Amino acid sequence: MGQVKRALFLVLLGVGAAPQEERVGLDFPNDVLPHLTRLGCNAGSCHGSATGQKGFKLSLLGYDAAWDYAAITRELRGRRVDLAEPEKSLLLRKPSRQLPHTGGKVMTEDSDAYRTIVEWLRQGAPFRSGKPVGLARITAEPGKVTAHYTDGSTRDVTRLALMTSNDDAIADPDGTVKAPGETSIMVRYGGQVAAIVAGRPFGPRVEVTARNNLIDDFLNDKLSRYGLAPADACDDATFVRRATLDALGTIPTPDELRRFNGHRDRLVDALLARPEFMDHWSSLWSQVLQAKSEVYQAWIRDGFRQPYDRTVRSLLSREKHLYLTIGDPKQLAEFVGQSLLGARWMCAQCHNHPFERFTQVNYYEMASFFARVRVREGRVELEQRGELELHGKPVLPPFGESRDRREDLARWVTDNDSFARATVNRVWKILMGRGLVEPVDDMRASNPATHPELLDALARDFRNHYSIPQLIGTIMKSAAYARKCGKGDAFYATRIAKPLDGEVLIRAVSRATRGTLPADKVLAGETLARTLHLMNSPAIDVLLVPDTVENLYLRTLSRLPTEAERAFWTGTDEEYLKDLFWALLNSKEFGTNH
Amino acid sequence: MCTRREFLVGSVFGLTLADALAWGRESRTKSCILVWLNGGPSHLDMFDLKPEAPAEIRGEFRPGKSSLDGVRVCEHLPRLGGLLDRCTLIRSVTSPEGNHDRASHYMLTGYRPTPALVYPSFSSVAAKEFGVGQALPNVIAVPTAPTYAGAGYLTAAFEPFSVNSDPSREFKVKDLESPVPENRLERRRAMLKAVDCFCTSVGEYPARDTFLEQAFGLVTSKEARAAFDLTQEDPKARGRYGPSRVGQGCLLARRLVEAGARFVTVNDDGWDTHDNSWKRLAGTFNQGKQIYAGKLPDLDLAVSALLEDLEARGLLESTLVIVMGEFGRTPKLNAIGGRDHWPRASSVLMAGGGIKRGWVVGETDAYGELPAVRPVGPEDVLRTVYHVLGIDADKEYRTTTGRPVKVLDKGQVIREALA
Repeated sequence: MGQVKRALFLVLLGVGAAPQEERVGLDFPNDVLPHLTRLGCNAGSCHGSATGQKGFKLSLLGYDAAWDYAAITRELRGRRVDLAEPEKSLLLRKPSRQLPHTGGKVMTEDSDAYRTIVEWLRQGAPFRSGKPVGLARITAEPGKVTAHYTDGSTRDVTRLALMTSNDDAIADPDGTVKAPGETSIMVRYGGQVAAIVAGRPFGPRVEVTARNNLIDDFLNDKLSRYGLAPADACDDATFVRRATLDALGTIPTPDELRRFNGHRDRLVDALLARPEFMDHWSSLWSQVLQAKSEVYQAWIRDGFRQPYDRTVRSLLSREKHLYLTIGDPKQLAEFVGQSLLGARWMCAQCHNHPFERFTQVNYYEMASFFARVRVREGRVELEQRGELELHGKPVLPPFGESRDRREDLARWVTDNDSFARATVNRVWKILMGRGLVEPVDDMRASNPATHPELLDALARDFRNHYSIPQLIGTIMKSAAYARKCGKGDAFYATRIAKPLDGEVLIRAVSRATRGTLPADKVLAGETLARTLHLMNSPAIDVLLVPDTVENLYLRTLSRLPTEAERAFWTGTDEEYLKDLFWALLNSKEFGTNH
Repeated sequence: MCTRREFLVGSVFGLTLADALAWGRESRTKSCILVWLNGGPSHLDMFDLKPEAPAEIRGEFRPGKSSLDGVRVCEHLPRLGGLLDRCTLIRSVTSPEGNHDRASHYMLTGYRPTPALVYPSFSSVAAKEFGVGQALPNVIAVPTAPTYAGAGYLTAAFEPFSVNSDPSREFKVKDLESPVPENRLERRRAMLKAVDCFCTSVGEYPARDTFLEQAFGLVTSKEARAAFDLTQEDPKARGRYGPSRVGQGCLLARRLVEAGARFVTVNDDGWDTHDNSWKRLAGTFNQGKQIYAGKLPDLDLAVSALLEDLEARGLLESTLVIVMGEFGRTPKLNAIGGRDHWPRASSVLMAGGGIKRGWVVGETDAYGELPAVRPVGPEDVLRTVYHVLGIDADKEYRTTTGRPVKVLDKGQVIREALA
């Protein structure tokens, strides 16, 4: 199949092989600008940068055709275009390197782009050639990109579209698949985006039967199609350690390990009912909701078993915590985008988002919901008037009539599809080691999920209850959650091992040593300082009290030593056992949730 | 290859011969010491005095002599003034960022802050370009890295290594010393290797293996540990730097550079002088239990000793020394005898490797409010630093999301500051 796709692409993309288009009525947005985008002229690193390049600025990836047209035809007293002698235009002489061009030679004189621009200049360099027709959307399938216009007409724009691969190791931008796996190709044309999924199986179709709940249906389907047999389920000890780390943020005690009776679902339910679960997850969620103050964090903890949509509505429209944390309307809008809806609106503060339909105006509209919020002496107040301005004009909210605009926003956010999807995706990433969409705060049409139907199904389910603990339980009870770690974690065929983060590591060391390790900021993040601390800290060293080999394994790695390990660790003196304790605490097995 | 003609044409368009040659050869400047004056040093009270201005602007300090004709610096910086003939003083740095964090981001990364991305500081760019180091880490912060002096969107491997200990007190790099003797550390290392070998549940883990190797290298290397050992320094030489944090920090920086470190940041606090400027800068000042020694005498001792010491050891040629903070301070004194944040004008002092001796770049207007001649931005300062260190500032990195970002996207090398 990959071969067929590849052949198809060669036919459509080959410059020489493509049929010459009839060159009648060329216009700027439809014929010229796409070439500039495809050649990278308006990329962020060239003339699309916020300040342009060498005095020539274009809109980023061509989102603003009118601006670009003016920059090309009017600036520099029109020297960029020469209608009498088109070939003399700077617009052609620079990129073809007839004149020095810092960006190098980006087009040849016999290229399609060059000839199109020459022809367009001959026709008088019009912005529009016929009656203006808007581009409604683009659709893309392997080998073909189609533009759909507002008058119902369509056009094959395959050769004009800019295509980029999300993972060069798996597929080239033209859709040629290079390695087994799957990625998406982002397609851009005329300020619109679409994505094509490109991939190739690892082997012939396999039957995958491990199933606990709806999650496995979707994952198994993909594993089958891609011929990837998943790893077996992990053993009980590994499961107890994994589930305890994920739910409570610490390792199980030897007692807890011994008490486990083999019922994994019941263990998950029991873990989720414990107070440490609330502590750990409200701390994780405090990072999502940017809660730095203790009051704000405590509020998150208190509400963690409440429906999340209700919590967020309170946060936006009734509580003061958020407003004491973030003071600026624009940063509040960014919070709504990034933390609640999984979207990076901040890019649009300075330029229309290059990959998305979220514009600068949209950005200010979202911020306008917060335009009248004021914080005075620790109290949140609403003013009667006051608007944000963009280019000297006031910007108003795009919807809603409430006196307190934040109520309209709160309803809109929690009713929004993206809200449930973004929440599900974040929880999924924490538990499974990788988001269905990565990065978790960059969800957009051109960055599709690896398992879109699964994300939809989980989001639909989440909307029925809005309970984060219930969602956590569903994921932890899936067969996919319980797989062994190992090589090849594509499509969750094996479990992804996750390094323990700072707070969890402190709790795990404390529990293993039965001591109390003080909080230390050097343990946050994987750094040299953290490695040194685990190795050499006197605070940890005093806690290394010798114990039997069996107990040391249970206390640190939450499992019994294997026969081979028992046979290997023959020493019995205190120093030997203390050093073994040290080695276990510094091991990769201890340092990860696997 | 380009032809000679093309080359000459190119030079008209911003590419000079010096640029082209610099790319071709390895820089002679091997190391960089950044003395970071956290909080924002007052340009008007240090390097850019305005004795002719009204009292509410010029403040209490009088200009003192310097070794450069016609250039005067604060009377409380006499030693540094005497060494100006070794330095380039930039008096016309300007930036719009007046908040500590935002301004630090701009000065240390060359990019104005944006919520979309944290950029790597120039010390972390150096770590990426020079490598993280063998036994001794290449990029070190004393005692800790300033805000936004970190790796930004680059991986944590390029974070500066913070010694987490104040060199002016009982100095001991945090967790550098193993609590057990060497033979037992060797045994621990072997045991750890065995535990890892038996482990089947976790696959390859390269990030952690790299840190582990680096950590063992650092702990077991006599040279690396000696470099951190300030007690090996002659007490007289130690005294020459002054007893302050910045003084002993500069001494430590010299030792580290001598031992092969490529970038050392000496992070000094106490420069955010919103009140009682004179006491904070020149005298001793008690606030509650905190006693502040004068910032200026401390800095004067520290940096002059550093420059002289580096020169005496033949290291000044290969070591770039930078003294700066995130912004300058308000020309007009406030009601409580202090100056507030003022990013529109500030001074940066540079000396050593690749920097011209005895030069002043730019000047501010009569009240030190704005650059009057040759304004330069943080990106120009950093581009000059990269140039001197032989790092291509036009190089493109990729963020974790694959977005291409240049080391710097703006700025010009300050040519007249180059040797």
